[in-house]
Amino acid sequence: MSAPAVVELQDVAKDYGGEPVLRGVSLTIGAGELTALVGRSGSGKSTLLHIMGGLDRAWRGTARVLGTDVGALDDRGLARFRNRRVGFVFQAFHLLEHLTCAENVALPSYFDGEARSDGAARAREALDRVGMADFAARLPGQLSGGQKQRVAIARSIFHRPELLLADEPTGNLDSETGARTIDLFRTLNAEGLTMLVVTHEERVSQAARRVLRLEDGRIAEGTAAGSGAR
Amino acid sequence: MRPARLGRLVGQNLRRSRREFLLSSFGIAVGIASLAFFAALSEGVREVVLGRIFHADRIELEPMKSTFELPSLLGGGPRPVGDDTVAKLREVPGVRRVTRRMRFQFPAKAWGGAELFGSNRYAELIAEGLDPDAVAGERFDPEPFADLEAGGPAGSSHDACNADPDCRRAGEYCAWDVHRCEKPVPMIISRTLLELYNAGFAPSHNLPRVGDFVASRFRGFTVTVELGVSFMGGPAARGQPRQRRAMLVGVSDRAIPIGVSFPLPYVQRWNAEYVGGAAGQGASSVVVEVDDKRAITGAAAAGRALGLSVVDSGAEQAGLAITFVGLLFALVSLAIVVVATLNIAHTFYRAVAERLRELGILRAVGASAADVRQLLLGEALAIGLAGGAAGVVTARAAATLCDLAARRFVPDFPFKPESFFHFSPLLVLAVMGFAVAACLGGALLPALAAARTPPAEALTSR
Repeated sequence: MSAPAVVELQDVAKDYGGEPVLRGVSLTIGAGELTALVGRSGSGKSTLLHIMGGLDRAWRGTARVLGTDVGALDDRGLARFRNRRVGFVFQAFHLLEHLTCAENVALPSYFDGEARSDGAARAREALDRVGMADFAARLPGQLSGGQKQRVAIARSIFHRPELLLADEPTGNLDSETGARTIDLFRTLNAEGLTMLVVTHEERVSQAARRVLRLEDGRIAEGTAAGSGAR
Repeated sequence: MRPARLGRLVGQNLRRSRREFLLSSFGIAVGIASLAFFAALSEGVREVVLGRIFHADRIELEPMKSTFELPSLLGGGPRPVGDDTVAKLREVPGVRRVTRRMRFQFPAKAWGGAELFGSNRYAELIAEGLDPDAVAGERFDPEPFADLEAGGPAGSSHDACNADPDCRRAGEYCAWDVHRCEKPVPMIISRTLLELYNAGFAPSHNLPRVGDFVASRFRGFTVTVELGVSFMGGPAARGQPRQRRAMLVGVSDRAIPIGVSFPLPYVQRWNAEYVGGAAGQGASSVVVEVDDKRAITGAAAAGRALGLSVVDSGAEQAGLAITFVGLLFALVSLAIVVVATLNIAHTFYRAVAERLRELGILRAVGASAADVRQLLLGEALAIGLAGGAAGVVTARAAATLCDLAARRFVPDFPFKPESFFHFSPLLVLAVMGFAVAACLGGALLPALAAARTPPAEALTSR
């Protein structure tokens, strides 16, 4: 029996200034999958990831992510969805330079609306999971690119999301650091985290069990023989 | 977002952008300092002018003057204010007290002061009769401000001077024309007269200033009053000139501003004696005091309905002048605050543009549009509070310096206050509120624009 669907897109379309970027994308991602989304630069990969993660509201079609119709959520609902159910990892790390690593990781706790005050302890736990516990008090400016990306991954898993969306996570890393980041993703995926990684790098797509190719605004599916897939 | 977390995030952002925060706060502080300074100056001057020189809670009403009024044409003087009019005014809502005054309608002169000035001073007597009820509750000594000729325990003994030629045992003097011992006529002076003495007469005659404490030491000081004659004009039309001794029993804001006030019954008797029976009846004017100064308008209207007009004390013009100057200063200050607000708006627009990606990151980890709006407005609130507080402190410091300079370099003048400024809690609250409102106003549009930016667009901004 196939895994229950975590992401279900049906005829998702989006234009930028009248120019179509997505022309009716339909796809399904099952729970626990590590999926790579590949395609040429400007093909709409990041846009599709933004739609799945509730970062974009101006699109057409249907998107059920983690059982939620993200198109039907209002701003507050989308904010809560991003805060509690999905995690993001970006190519440029997107850490706040004036905050320490621990503060960056604990950033989601500012917006979770809960009275609990164990954000620092949970941030340390997340940093520990990515092997960065010793760097908790450092500022991002004091870290290497690979270390920054690990901190960013720690932030993405702070609230223990069900889906991790990564946008070119190794794009700014050298091959060795990138490989370590891929290993970390595989580890997280092995622990049950569903992941979609937007990439144009072969080594990343090789790590995925499934590769989705975006061409001319539509999905052309292919399957990689990823050794790291579950 | 929970307020504590919002405060923490705001604090982190402000610490990160210290320079921008200080510059924005400085702009607001300059505007608020000038606004608070001039508002306090205006309030301080208003307090002195309308609180001590003029009194906002009372008006004086006198019979309307008409060119064709028969008594005026026949030379009988204006008609007096009758007891019935006084009774009607007392019934007007908001009126606390109605008291009568009567002008001297005959010539008189006075001299005395040898024990104070080394030699006697001579002057025309400027005086009036004042209803003792007007000063009820005020402390006078060594005699009450009352008609001591009316009998009673405090009244004159009227013993013949033969038995005690100096009449000193009872604090009396010998009235030579009737050859009887009488108590001196109680008189009071106003604080205005004291201020004029301190600011003009005392320095020019090398005499010491007289404060409230010293003035109280002069209670019991007497002068000789000669009724019915003048240094400058002829004698009164009727009656025999005679001398009476008058004694200072106190200082009161209700006394005639320049001159001396005697208890009304004395002046009524003297006017009747030296002018004629009708001149001693009723009152020349009445003073209407109200509980709340807003009731003044109603009292003035009631007076007009009874054929009385408001004696122009200049208070209205003074109040208008102060208000006008205060408004002028306030406009200048407002212009500064508006410039500061535009500066805040510009700073925030720039900050939002520069921080758009950072705001996008916050959106990605769960911040809603409302959270972003609250964050930026929270920063504006902090700038407003800091700028407002700095502005108020600066204004207070500048006011203290001005007061020190005035004390040292500005010559004394009547009613020169200890401080020209009045920083009431309400004023401080108002300018602080204004500072906060200006900052929130300046930051509102940038905050709304930032909140409207889609997270994906914010994240990909450069």
